Amino acid sequence: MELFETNFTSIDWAIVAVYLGGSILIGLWANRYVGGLSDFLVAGRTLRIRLALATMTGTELGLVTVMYVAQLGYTKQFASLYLAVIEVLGLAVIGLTGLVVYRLRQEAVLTVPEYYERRYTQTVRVVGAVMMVLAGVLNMGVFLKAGSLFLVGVTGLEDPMALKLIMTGLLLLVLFYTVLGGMVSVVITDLVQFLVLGVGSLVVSGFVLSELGGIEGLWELSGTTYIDPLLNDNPVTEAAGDGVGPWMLTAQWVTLSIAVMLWPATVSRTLAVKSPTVARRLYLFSTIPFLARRTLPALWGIGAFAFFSLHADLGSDFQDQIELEKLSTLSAMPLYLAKIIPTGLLGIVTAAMLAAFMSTHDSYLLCWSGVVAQDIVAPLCGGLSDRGRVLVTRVSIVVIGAFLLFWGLWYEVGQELWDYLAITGTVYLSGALPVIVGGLYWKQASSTGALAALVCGLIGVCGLSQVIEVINRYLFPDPTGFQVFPAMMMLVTMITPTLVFIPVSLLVPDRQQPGQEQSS
Amino acid sequence: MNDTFWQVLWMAILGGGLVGMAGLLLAVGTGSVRELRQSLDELKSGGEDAEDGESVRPPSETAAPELSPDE
Repeated sequence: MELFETNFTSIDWAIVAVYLGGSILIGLWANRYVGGLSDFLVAGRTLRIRLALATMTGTELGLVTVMYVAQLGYTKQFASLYLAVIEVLGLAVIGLTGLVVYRLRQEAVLTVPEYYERRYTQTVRVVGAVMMVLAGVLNMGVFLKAGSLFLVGVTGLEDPMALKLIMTGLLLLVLFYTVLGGMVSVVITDLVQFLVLGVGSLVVSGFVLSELGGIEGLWELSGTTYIDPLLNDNPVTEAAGDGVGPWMLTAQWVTLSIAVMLWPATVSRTLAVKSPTVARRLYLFSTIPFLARRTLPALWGIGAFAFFSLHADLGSDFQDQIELEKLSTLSAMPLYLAKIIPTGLLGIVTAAMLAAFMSTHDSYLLCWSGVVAQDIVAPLCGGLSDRGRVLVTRVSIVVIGAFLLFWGLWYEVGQELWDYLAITGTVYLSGALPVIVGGLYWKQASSTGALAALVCGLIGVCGLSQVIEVINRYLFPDPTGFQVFPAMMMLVTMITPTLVFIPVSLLVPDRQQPGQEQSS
Repeated sequence: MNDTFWQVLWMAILGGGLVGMAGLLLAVGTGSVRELRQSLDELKSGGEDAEDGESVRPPSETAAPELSPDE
């Protein structure tokens, strides 16, 4: 058996083409429901719980999620499932208490930075929006690459030009229906994608489970692989620091707990639901799809690990390709699925994964573009008409899309994909945490404190492996002495803006307290 | 911690993910299609009413600043 051998044939290509064609039709059809800005950005706030849940699953179970969770499953096996526990607990707490999301939805804002202006000042809104878009687009920059790696593995296409063309085509397709139909087409396509993706992921899991020898085989496998995330070293690879460990566990716990509450793409769905109660319920019910998104792809990654261990020749070929930097561990899962899923079904599974790819792209594109129009361009231009805002949103979607293409095709992720996503997310999350939570629950929170915290979030980029390398080279050159490492940087950069926000708010309070302004 | 503890925990988590996704498809699948139709009807008629009689603030930039955050 060859490493790139696949069951993907022309029948599968045809299935994928039909599915993609359907998405174009939906975009065209949805355009007639878009009346004004509210329709375009939050679907007129008409979403009820089931629909909101289906579309939130469509967004959050993206191909990039599938890829990084499967990568973690491959590299850290069962221990990688600790992320599922953290995420589900975080969502359950928010769902039960309504923490942050209930009050945020009560504000009836279209975007998070709009809340910044209500609570603080317009400057906070613009700065917050810039930070949000910067972090979000940087974060999204690797989605395209993850998608292309999936297609390489599944289809066996090795020609880099063909892949670039396919990914460009997919991006153009998403741009097309998002620009046309805004949140209305995003909701409709997300619903279709949720159904296709849900069925597809169950089918794949069934095949993987059967390949592993059922529940009994899975249990036996768990006894011989990495299962304790508290260990710093993965006993399977025997390489030092190849595991999770307490530092990374804590850093991920902090980051992920904040992300489930404040990540803009998730919050934008919260803002689109009918009422604050639905927003709270949405979080509670979201524990199920979020559990699925963290577990099913991990199972496929674990399956890939077992497969490459069993077929030692393929495993060694794969390892060689990784050492030559032609492939990364991200490709393990798609290469594995290409061999175990039969022709025809593989086309459906690929369509499901492309559905996952598109459902995340459309929501994210709309989210960041909406922020550009609403919170950067409109305030700086002294206000824009609804028609103007929709136009700016549409232009921003295209501009961000062009950036994604450029960034996604040349940037090399120097660490595990999830670590990259968590670090770039920190740029926004670390600043947004004190500004939003403080704004909602702390009277003394001031605009100067908010600005300081938001700008401080920029130090989040220090967590990127390339930056850590530079820091260590110049500040801590002795490899046997103290060295900075990603988990430590994640924690430091996540906490710093809050530590800045509190004293600055106390030292430089707003002249007019919220509430006084209202009564005067 | 004991290896068996981790094994049981991860098996339960994996099982929860599988059963959860299957249940979600059954529970949400059909209902969400009906809700989509309702939402599209509302969009056509231009309504933006809140459910459960809950009041929400107007989605406008010129709206009054926030009342006390601790209210």
